[in-house]
Amino acid sequence: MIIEVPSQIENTFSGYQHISEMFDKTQNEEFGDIVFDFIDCRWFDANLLAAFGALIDNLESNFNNINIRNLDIRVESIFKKNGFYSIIKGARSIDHWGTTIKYQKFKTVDEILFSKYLDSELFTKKSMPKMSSGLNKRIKENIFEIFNNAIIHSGCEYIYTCGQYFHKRERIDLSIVDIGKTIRYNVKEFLNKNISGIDAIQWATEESNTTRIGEIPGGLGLKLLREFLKMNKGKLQIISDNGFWEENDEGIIEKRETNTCFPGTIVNIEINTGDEEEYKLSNE
Amino acid sequence: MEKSIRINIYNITGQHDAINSDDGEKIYSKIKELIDKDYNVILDFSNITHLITAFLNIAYGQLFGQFDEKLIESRIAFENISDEDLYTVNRVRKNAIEFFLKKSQEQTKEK
Repeated sequence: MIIEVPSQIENTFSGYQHISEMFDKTQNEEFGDIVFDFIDCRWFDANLLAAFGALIDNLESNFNNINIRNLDIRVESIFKKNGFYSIIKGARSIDHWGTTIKYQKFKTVDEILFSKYLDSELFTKKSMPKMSSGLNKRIKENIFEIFNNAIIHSGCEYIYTCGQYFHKRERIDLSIVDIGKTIRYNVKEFLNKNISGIDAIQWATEESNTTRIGEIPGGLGLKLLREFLKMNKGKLQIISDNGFWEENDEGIIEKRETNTCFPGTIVNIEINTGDEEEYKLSNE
Repeated sequence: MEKSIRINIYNITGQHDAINSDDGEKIYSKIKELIDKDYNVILDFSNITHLITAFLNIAYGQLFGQFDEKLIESRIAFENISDEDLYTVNRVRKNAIEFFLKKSQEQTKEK
């Protein structure tokens, strides 16, 4: 099977849709040879390698041979700098600018490793912007909340992450991806009614809503993440099943249905690193 | 009995990040046992630099399903905790109270 990778894979609705389509086209493949042909691809947003990496990993676990060909020199350069290339071809090049946030796969029990990864890739790296200690703390805690959400709700085995720092725009994009139960599946089971992917994501982002059953409260993580990104003038994107949900730096929510379903959840956060807010919150 | 027992969170997590669900569960069990035995509890957050709701929901939030809100507030004290982390604790407390209230209302309806 040959998959032609589209010309632009960006952090936009169409970019996520392309990723979902690649999952969809290959979902039944076992013991096959799958070629991802990049001949037309001129741009691939680095953080989305978390989702692409999850796809390749998933296909390999179904005993498929994966081949990547015709990589454009710029795309290849991105793949090499953040370590993704080493997963597929066995080589990593030096990132002279230090703007990449390494592609990494974690087991769900690897919380300590994940913490070290965040420290080394985001907070202690010389090339990363100097942010206030309050901002650093809030960023790390919110990323942990996403990691934990994936563990608690998706039942997945692995979590994939990758990111990029855009120094001119003063932005960091970081994606956290799982291939597990989708938000739509969980909300549908919990409410015991049919619900669209979009409405399920919207429901999950509202305070106190949680699909957790039992005696442990929940439903705060995504709400606090939204509050933080609103203050920070950052952006949140959630893609799960056939839902695309985005809250931009002006607090405007965009919700759209994708043609194909993503078999898990992608959470992408865009952090405004130029934010000078101290994040000293007063007690309620 | 009014004796207070201190629980050092860092001694349980073994790291500066209070993020792990199992650690949260251990802390919950200790607090519950101490309250059951009529002790006051001091939760000491020395050396904890990151604290998340997923951890607090387990360690602290689920207590509101076991004990009365006023009893919890009179028995548990937080020490060496930053204002920002205390804000998170308060959000978890508020959320837990609403969660168990909603749950008991639903159970009443079912009856």
